Amino acid sequence: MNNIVTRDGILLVFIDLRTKQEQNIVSPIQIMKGMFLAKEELKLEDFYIFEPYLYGPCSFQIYSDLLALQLKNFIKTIPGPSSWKYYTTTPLGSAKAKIIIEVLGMEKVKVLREIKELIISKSFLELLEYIYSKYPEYARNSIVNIEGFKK
Amino acid sequence: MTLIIALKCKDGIVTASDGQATGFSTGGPIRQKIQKIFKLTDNILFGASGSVGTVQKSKEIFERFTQQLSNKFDLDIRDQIRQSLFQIMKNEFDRHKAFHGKSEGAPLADILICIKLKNGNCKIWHITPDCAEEFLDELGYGCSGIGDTFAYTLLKNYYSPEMDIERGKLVAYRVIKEAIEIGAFGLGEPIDIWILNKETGEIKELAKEEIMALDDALLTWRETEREVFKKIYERK
Repeated sequence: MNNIVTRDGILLVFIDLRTKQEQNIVSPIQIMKGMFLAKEELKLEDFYIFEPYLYGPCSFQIYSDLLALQLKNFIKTIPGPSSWKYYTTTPLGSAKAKIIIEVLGMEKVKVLREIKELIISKSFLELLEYIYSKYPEYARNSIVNIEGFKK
Repeated sequence: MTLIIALKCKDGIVTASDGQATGFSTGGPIRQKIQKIFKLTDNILFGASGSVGTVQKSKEIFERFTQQLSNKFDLDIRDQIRQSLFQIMKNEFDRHKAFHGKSEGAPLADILICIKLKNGNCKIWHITPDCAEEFLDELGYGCSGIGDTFAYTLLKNYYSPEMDIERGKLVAYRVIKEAIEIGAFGLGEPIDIWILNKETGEIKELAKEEIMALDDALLTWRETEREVFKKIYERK
């Protein structure tokens, strides 16, 4: 990755990308799973390190970067239903994301957009099920037994 | 006001607290952020609820005895500590009674010590305001502070001795978070969580990022509960 396309740059782009659903607000779980899929599908090196956590793949580095992006006024939080806190970009963050997109290249942006659309189209449990079935090694510490819900 | 809990897990101890103290100003009580759990040595964590001043004095007593406590956790050293603490508590009690004409509301402290012994066992040592002692690890968990009945109610349902530290952190976070959100006890954020790992010997305070991750794990847990109840209702 170069100086502009850093891991937090990709995070910012992911939050900012408009989808078919015209949605650019995302929950922390959607961000976490989105960044995980981005790493896997784009084969990103020098990116976030994920571990199997209580809700599947998780990188604590993402939380640090979310805090840092908030401090830079690139993103902000919006209270959502059931105590979830959603993230969205500010006009300043959106402008920064556009610069990063130009360097990142349309091919990678297309994949990121597809990942975001996939994540947004799924309910909370569907999203976990998708990730857990595709990457079972990251589900081993999960507090949610997806199979139990099917019974 | 304060809530501190300590959970004995199969691989160590998790202890957590809320982060708000009620201070006193001329104009009335004020909220202050405060740390309530402290690392005394590489194997001892100190937590206490009660009057800030008395908690500070109690911590000083423990700091005097840390070397002995780390080397030998026996009845003699525990009695020496409790005698010193008793002097502090009694002085506060007498002073309060002499000034206010009643003993209620005396600024005392309730202490929870988490300690990893040389033999690898972990103990939760509770010293009550009258300086009686008990070991709560035999029950599995201990609570101290104004929201303790609330915490005991939640822990009765959530605690399992088979729980590991990873799940213990989440349970501890949930108990403190629910007490802050629901109870009108004067509790507040930030939530502070420490672990004492008996297998690795690690003793550490969770970083802000991990607390954020626990918050999301808690929301995941609640979301799952909602789904479970939805399924139950749908069946009816």
